[in-house]
This record gives sequence, C-alpha cells and structure tokens, in this order.
Amino acid sequence: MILVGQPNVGKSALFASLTGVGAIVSNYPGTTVTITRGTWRLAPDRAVVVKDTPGAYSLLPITDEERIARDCLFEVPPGAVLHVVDAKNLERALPTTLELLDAALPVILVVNMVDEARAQGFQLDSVALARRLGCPVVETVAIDHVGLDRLREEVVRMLDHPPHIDREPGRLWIEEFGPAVTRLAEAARRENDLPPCMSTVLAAAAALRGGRNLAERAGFPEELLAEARREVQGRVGGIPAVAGVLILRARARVLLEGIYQPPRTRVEDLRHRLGLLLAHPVWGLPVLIGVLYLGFYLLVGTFAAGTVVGFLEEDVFGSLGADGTWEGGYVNPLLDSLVRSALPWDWLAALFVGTYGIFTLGITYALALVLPVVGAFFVVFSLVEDSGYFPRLALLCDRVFKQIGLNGRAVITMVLGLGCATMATVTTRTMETRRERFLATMLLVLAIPCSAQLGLISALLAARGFGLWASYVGCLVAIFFLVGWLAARILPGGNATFHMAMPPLRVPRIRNVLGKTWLRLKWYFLEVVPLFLWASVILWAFDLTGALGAIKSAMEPAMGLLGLPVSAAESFLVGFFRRDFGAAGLFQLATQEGGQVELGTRPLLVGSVTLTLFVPCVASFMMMCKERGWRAGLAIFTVVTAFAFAAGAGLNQLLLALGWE
Amino acid sequence: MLLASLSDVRLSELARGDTALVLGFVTSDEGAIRKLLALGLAPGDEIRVLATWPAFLLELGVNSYALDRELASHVLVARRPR
Repeated sequence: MILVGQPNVGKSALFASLTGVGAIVSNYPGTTVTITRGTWRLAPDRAVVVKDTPGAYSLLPITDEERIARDCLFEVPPGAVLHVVDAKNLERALPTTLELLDAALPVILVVNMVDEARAQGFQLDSVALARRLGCPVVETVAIDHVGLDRLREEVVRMLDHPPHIDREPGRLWIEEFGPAVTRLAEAARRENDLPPCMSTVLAAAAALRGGRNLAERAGFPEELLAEARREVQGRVGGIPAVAGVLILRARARVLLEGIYQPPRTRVEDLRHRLGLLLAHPVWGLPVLIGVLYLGFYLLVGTFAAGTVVGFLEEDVFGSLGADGTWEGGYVNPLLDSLVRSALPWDWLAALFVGTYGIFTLGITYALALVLPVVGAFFVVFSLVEDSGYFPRLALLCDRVFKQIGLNGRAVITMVLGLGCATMATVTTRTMETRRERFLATMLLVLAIPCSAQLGLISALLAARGFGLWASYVGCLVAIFFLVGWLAARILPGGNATFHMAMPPLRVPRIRNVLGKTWLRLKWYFLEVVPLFLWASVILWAFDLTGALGAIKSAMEPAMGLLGLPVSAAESFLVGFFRRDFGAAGLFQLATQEGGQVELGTRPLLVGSVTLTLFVPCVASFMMMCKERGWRAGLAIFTVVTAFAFAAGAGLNQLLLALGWE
Repeated sequence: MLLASLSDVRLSELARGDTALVLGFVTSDEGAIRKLLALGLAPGDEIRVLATWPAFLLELGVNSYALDRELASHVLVARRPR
C-alpha cells in the first residue's frame, strides 16, 4: 500500500496514525526524503506494508524526491494507493487523483483535514464524489485518528477484491492528445529503463508533457518526440505541459460540480496577518533575531550547554583531574573502582575507565556533554518547524542565498545542519540541480557547526564575554558567505529559481513537537553513539601503542601555526571522529581547573573556528559520499580539511597582526 | 482587445494588494513553466499579491506560495481594477 499526495496535507500524520511508526510530521515540504515503510495491522491476523512517499505535486516530478515518489508507484503493482488530499484544496488535488486513476492504479481518495474545512464553511458530498470518480472516497482527520476505521474497511475491501480496472493506462491522454501518444509509445526502446510496471503509453504522455526523465529512460527517439509534441501542440492549441494541466483541471471541475463548495468569503484571521508579518523584510527581522536569541542562544547555548552540561559533568559524572584522580561526581568514580577491582590489568581497565575509556570518555561525552545540547536543539527546532515559520524564513533569505548559488529553500537545510549535518545532507535531495546539491553539501560540512559543537563552543566562548562569541559567529558567517560566493562563481551553471508553498502558521502541537524531537534524538543516537564508542576504543589503542604521541607530535607544527598549545592536538585528532567530540575536548582543555593549560582568548577563538570548519564527523563523511558520490565526497573532504587549517592559520596571523594576544 | 491589452502585465510588475487573473506563460524555458505549473499556477487562476519583496508571495485559492522575481516575470496576468 502506498501513500501519495502533495506536501503538507497530513500524509505523514496519516502514516503515523496507521502504523505507529513516526515519519517526521512537518509543516514544511521536504522532510520525508526517502520512502518510509511501516506495517498497518488491518486485523489481528493481518497486516499490510505501508510506504510513505515524499510529498509530490504531480506525476511529473521536478526534484529527486518527487521522482522517488513517482517511481515507487510503478515498481511493483501496489495493493492500494491512498491519495491523501487536503479537503480545503480538493479542486487542486483532484487533477492528480485523475492522473493516478488514469494510470490504472487502485486508488482510494483520502480527504483529510475535513474538520478544518467544515469549520471554514466548505461543503463536500463525498458519496457523490466516490460515485463520479469510480473509486472509494474516505473523509479523515488523520491527526486525531478520525475516519481510520472506514479507511481500514475500504483498504480491506480493495485488497480482497482488487478493482476490476478494465482501462488501459494512459487512455485519458490518448483521448486528449490523439494518436501521437500511441505512436510515440510504440517507439520506446525495447530494453528501456522505465520503472518495471509503467506502461510505455504513460511514459509517452509524460514525455509529451515535458517529462524529460521518463523520455530519456524510455529511449524515445528525439526527433520523433519533437514531432509528436508539435502534433499535440497543434491539436490542443498550446504547450502540451500547460494544456495537460488545464485538461486535468477542467475534468476535475466537472467532477466536482454541485458536490463541492468552497466558502464564499474568506476569514482573514490573526494567523494570516501574523504569517505576513513574519515574511516581511523589515518586521520579520526582529522576529528572526528573537527566535535565534531566545531559542538558540539562551536555551541551547547558555542553559543546555552551560548550566545542564556543567551540572552533569561536574556533579554527576565527574571529571578526571590532571593527577589521575576524580574530581566531583558519582558515576565515573564508582565505575572506576568497580572496573579496577574486576580487572587487575591497568591497560585493559583503561579501555573502560581511563582517559580514553569507553565509559569515562565515550559515554560521558555522549550523555553529559552532547545529549543535553542536541536534545535542547531538537526541541527548539521542532517547535519552530511545527509552527510553519521555516517557509517564511526561506522567503526572507532567498535573495541572500541567491548570492551563494542557492535559493531560499536551502536555509531550512542549513538550519537543520545546525542540529546535525548528517541529517541535513540527506535533505539536499530536495534541491533541483546537481550544482545546488554540491554547493549546499560543501557549505554544510564546512561552515555550519552542529548543535553539540555550537552549544559547547558557545558556552565556552560566552563565558569569556559576548564579544568573543560574537567574533566566532562573525568569522563563521563571513566564511560561509565568502566561500559560497566564490564557489558559486567557480562552479559552472546558473542559479535555480525559488518557489515554495507557504503553509499556514499554526500553534505548535505538543505531541508533534515531542514526537519529532524523540525521532530525531533516536536517529541521532543510533547513528552517533556507536561512533563515540569507537572513537574512544581507537584512541585507547593509539594511546597504548604509542601511536597517539607520534601523531600528536606530527601535528605540532600545525598547532604552532594555529597558535595553539601542543595538547590541543588531541582535540583535533578527536575532531576527526566527530567535531563536537573535538569541541568537548577543547571545552575540557579550557576549563580544566588547576590544570596545566589555561587557553587564552586568541587560541580559543582560532581553535573553535578551525574545529568548526572541519568535516563534521565520520557519519557525515559517509553520508556525503553516499549522496554526492565518492569522488565529490573525497573532493569536498580534502578541500574542507585543507581550508580549515589554512583559514585557522590565517585567522591566527590576522589576530596577531591586530595585536590580540 | 484594446482594453485587455492595456491591463496585461507580467506578474512581476504587480504591486502588493493587487488581484489578477493568470492568462498564460511567456517564456521559452519549459522548465520554468513546469515549475510554475507544479506550484499550481495555471491560466485561469485568480491570484492576489501579498508581498513583492524579498520575493513574491501569492494567495492562490486557500494556499499561499512564494516565488522569486525571475519566475514571476514568466507569468502573464490581467490586473483587476482596484
């Protein structure tokens, strides 16, 4: 069973209600970038696999994610296709239903959010609509689990008695576009790359309507395609792409005549006006600064990364002093004595409780330093996301982002990158061109600190004064735009244009926010905690074999260039495993009371900036290679690492020249 | 015809608060047309301009959409008298 539908119609909410697996429900397009699978228990002894597809506007995709959704429909014959639509927007969604029906798919039309629509004065006779369409129509309020029983009945009926679909796929287009469709379909390559269950007639209709991807995969001869398009153009009297939409809309309008009535007058409520305010170039700015300051600086930076981390580290876990004894805390001293009494060998005990121990380094970092920061970030992000603010932010930032070869959409990816770059790299799929995806990935791994790192560094720097923190943020913003601006001029290709749906603002729903935060945290921990543990094992092995000392001394000249003490090499080494891990090292280095090193403000700033510029972590490197390919991934890695050190050294010299000791 | 052509403008020339009827697309860039169609903008649509800067914000039925000046310049509309 497959769920399809436009972004923001409650598709993911429906998926979550049916399967209990949460796809991340969002108030902006582009969060479901891969097919999510779940199981829906139809009866105690019966279950069906449900696939949730990325939001798509039509069967003619523009971005990769929409292509994924389309292809999914034609991979294996689905038992049922649930087309989820917003009851308030039926006129615009029904054309896609007609496309799906024309593709001879077993469609059930799910009219969602009927509560909102009724409240606003929409009238719909769904029984009559079902009769006219010839497919089941179910009204639901997915978020409140309303209408799911009827949906279950219809799905069971459809699976038990597959609808007798007697029409061949694409007949609508043969009727409208004429014989050119079948002629083109017959010219498809015998061994074509079309999705296995897609008929060549459908591919031909899509190609005529401008679907380049399917035209290539079907292998239609260029000349024949051009000729067929001219023929269709003459027949329908216009560009086939436009005519196709108008034809579908006209058919939809006829179908809805007399049974669907939008309200005469629209209420312009406060929400609407607030939505406009947030997208306003002048009034929107204070709101943006407010969100950043309150949410990210105060809550994530000061509270989570400062207060909570300080408490957990010093009072709960405890930190290892320079002389090898524990200072404060309960957990680590206790584990230390337990492990040492069970394992008489010092070198083996060190694997668990030493300077690089799995407990004392890996788990302590993961739970005491990173969890509070990442958790707080995800709460704030989910709140902002659920309110529908991000599309407004995208609109506000469009002009600025055009300067770095991206468009306003990319701002959502970048903000998500402030949480976790690995997660954000996946969402670059929502971008249209390879150029954009490359630029975004590079900026993401270079100049966007992830939440744990940003939180820790912010706490570290803010403790030495707001000015230092502001210099750090200033450096990163400058590098972000400078590199983006240069790269956009070096890479060939033009800028993509910006277009985006603006969902209405809403008061964030607590259940949504908590659900999203939980899913993100779960994802983060499954991906990240193992890496923390591996990092401590590897560092322990390096320490035991003496390799650590050798690498550290090899890095000495580099540290010298950066104006950092030799012991900072460790943070950088660890930084290769995870940037936030390295930041945590730097954090400890700088706050070690009575320790031998007390970092000055200049090395602290240089160290923080250089660490931030690094490739985020092993996970993000792997993801980068997976999404962009090995060559692009390695190229980005090399450039970013070299750039990080060069920029750090440059910054150090600049600060020295400015007389900053 | 004369009256109609007097009020025919590109979407990008509209001001905030204007309402207009979408007439068609004027560009040879079929990719741009498909993008606009994918947004749900097609000839015959009634639109209202909610904002023009930093990008255009349109009200289209119950939905709002943002698009940049370049895309907006591809859309031919008839401005409704205020």
